[in-house]
Amino acid sequence: MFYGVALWAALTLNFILPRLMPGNPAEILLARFKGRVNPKAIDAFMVAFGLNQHHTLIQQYGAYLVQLMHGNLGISITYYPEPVIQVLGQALPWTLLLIAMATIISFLIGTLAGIVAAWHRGGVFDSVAPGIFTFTSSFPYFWFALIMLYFLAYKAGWFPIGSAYAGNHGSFALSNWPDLLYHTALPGFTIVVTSIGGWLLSMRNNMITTMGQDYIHMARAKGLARRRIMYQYAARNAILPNMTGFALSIGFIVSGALLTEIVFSYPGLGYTLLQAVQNEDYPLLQGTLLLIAVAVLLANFLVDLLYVRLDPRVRNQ
Amino acid sequence: MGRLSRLWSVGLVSLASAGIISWSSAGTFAALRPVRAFPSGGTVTWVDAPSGPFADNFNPWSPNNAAGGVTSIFESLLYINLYTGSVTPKLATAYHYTNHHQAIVFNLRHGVKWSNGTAFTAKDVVFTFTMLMKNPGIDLNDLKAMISSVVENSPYQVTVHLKAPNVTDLYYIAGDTPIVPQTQWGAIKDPVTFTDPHPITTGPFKVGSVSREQLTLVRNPLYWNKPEPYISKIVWPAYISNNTAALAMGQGKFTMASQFVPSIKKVLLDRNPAHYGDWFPPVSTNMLFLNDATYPFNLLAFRQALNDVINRKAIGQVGEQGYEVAANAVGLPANPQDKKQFDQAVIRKYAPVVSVPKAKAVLKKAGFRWRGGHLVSPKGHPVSVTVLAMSGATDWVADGGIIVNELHALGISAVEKTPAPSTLTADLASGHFQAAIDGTGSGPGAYYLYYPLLDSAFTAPIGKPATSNFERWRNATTNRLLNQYVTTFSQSKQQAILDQLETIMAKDLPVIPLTDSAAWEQYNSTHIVGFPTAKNPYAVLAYTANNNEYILAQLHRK
Repeated sequence: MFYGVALWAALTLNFILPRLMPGNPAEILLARFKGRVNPKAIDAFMVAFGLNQHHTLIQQYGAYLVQLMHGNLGISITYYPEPVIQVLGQALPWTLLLIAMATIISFLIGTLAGIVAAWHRGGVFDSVAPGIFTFTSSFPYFWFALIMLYFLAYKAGWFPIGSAYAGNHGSFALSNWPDLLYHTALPGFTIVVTSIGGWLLSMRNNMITTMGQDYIHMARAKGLARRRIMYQYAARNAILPNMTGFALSIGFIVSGALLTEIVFSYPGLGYTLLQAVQNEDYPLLQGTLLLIAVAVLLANFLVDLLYVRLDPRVRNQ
Repeated sequence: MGRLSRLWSVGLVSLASAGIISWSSAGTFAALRPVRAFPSGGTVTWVDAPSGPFADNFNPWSPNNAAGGVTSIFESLLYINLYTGSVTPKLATAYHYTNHHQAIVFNLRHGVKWSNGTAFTAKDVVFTFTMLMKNPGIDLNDLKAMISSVVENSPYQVTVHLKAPNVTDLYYIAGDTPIVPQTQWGAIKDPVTFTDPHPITTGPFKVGSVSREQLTLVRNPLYWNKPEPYISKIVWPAYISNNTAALAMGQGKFTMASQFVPSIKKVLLDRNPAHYGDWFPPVSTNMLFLNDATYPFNLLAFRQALNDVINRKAIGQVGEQGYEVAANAVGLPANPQDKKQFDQAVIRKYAPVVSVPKAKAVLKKAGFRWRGGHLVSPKGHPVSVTVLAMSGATDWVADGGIIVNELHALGISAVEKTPAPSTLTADLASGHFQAAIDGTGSGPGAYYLYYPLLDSAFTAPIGKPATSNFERWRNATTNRLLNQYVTTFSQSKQQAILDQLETIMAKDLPVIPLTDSAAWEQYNSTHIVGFPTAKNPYAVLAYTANNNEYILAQLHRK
């Protein structure tokens, strides 16, 4: 029920927000050509984009909902006449490849490092790691990505300057994977470096709180193996808040990482969203926002289910 | 070798004089014969960012392809060069007007084959025009308003019947309408949404491969004008930001580029001075659009005062980094084609002189006063001006800053705002602005710049969308002159009309010309040569599909 209402609200906002922007896509397209196109072409654009039919907002809203129920997201203006579904379908795999991989790696390393740091509280690792990763997480992302691009890709030439793949090797065939990973490495690295600190710190702090609990003392007193206490008793309880954060960020993965995609010329959903906004591409904007909304709701739903597995108290209620 | 290369250069000159003429009411051309076969082969990498991710869409009239871009594969009847003004025969070999300029007869080229091997004939030409006139969604030049019918006289001759004599139609009909094959397009249900993924063309290149990240064109072995083209492959990598494109160019990954590169000498040219070069030919004009429908911009004296304090030279040197030169009084770019139409007397008489005292005198005479250093309008209100420049266009933002400082000298409280491009576009269209920096259109001659800029047909009351006359210039004389021009087929009479329009631009200042607007070109002659350059300014890159196609066919290996 909650998810149904949330989805409807998201759909309606998706419809309203783009229409609050001034101007229309035909004007913007003509302006983008900077005088190289006959201004009379604006009439042709209006016809092609279907903007010459004067429907009221209510009519448009009705048509939009009916279209959605048929799974039709309309035709993109930026990529006219490509259907929005196809545009999103082209961009989504790249975003999933890059952002999902980077988020999972960052979460795993950060969480693990947090567990180790808390367990050896006051040790060498605990005094160095949180400091370093807090520092790297405080880098302004845009700046850090540009620096990495400039030194590692441009000056040293170790990585490609941009793009998700070389030339026409754009499929996920097995033989293309070395090339795909080579192109993902540097942008992925910048995301991991700048996001790892958050996972590490929150995990470490949760662990420390958990380790003060009576049941940990009890486990120690029983003489259980240290490893078992660390992972099965302390970490399993401490990870709950981190899991919530992870689920939320999984939802936001589909919104892409706009800055990463711009700096590294990566053809993902973030850049698609930016293009949709710049060109006032209502259908593409609606489609992208819908995808994000659905992904966030879905992630929330999954985390609800996951909680039940991780936390027996939820199960009993 | 010495003798051969000498013959060769003589040959090139005679080609230029034989095949290419200045266009007027009729044109016949000698056969085009390239004099010497350059070595063939080689790959050209063209950096044109931001571009991509590419869509597999080669429909030349599809909205996103309207300015040419990657669809530089089709040919029109004539190639009308928008920089030199010269005309090169393509699918038509000659044309002449008949029936009191109510019809144009085109003789078509024999022996042209479509890239699938079928012969090009008059049927294809008739089909293309008829299809465009039936489909308003792709009729970009509104051919339907100018043409009544297109008929086939013989397999190699067509007549285009016009609704009314109009000298400007020739460019849109012959120079800006790519011809497509009837056998392929005739079977298409909706040419507006057709993406033409496997285009069939008569041009020098055809599509090689398409992905989101890269697009390639390859040599068309059936091209009629042998031995063109010389290059075997053209590659467009997608760069979604200018920064990435600039880095790739820094690494030498380009053969030619159409990029704005800040501090280009240091960033790019000095890396390889022997082979890297640039050329920024003026193609249109950057204007300060004033909202002539609002007070006090509707007062000529106020516009004159602004004109007297704006230092175009400083804007060109500082704001535009010296890449663009100061505009002249009539607002026409200083390229070979437009220069022929300059009224030098008007340009000299109204040559801009920066003078604050002169501006103040003009304002004073018109009833403006100063109160505590602030300019006060005759109606008694303090004068404030907001200058708009779109965010992201760093040069225009810098220009706006210079203008704001200059307005301060008059006691105007001026500020600059930098809205997003889409917001600025909307503000210009609706008339909700005071002053804004934007470019003009262009075409084969002064008329094509003035018509969309000054004709009332392109404006609207404030609050309603204007198409291109954003300054809302409504002037009966201007409209009459523009109307007269299109039915004037004598070049001297055309010039007399242009002289009057130029006078209006310089004297009445509907907008204030700032700098010529340049097209960007960088080239890398390590392996490939034949680029248009300042020394050999034969065409402008990244401007229209026809220009690109022509240039690509001239490039060759060293």
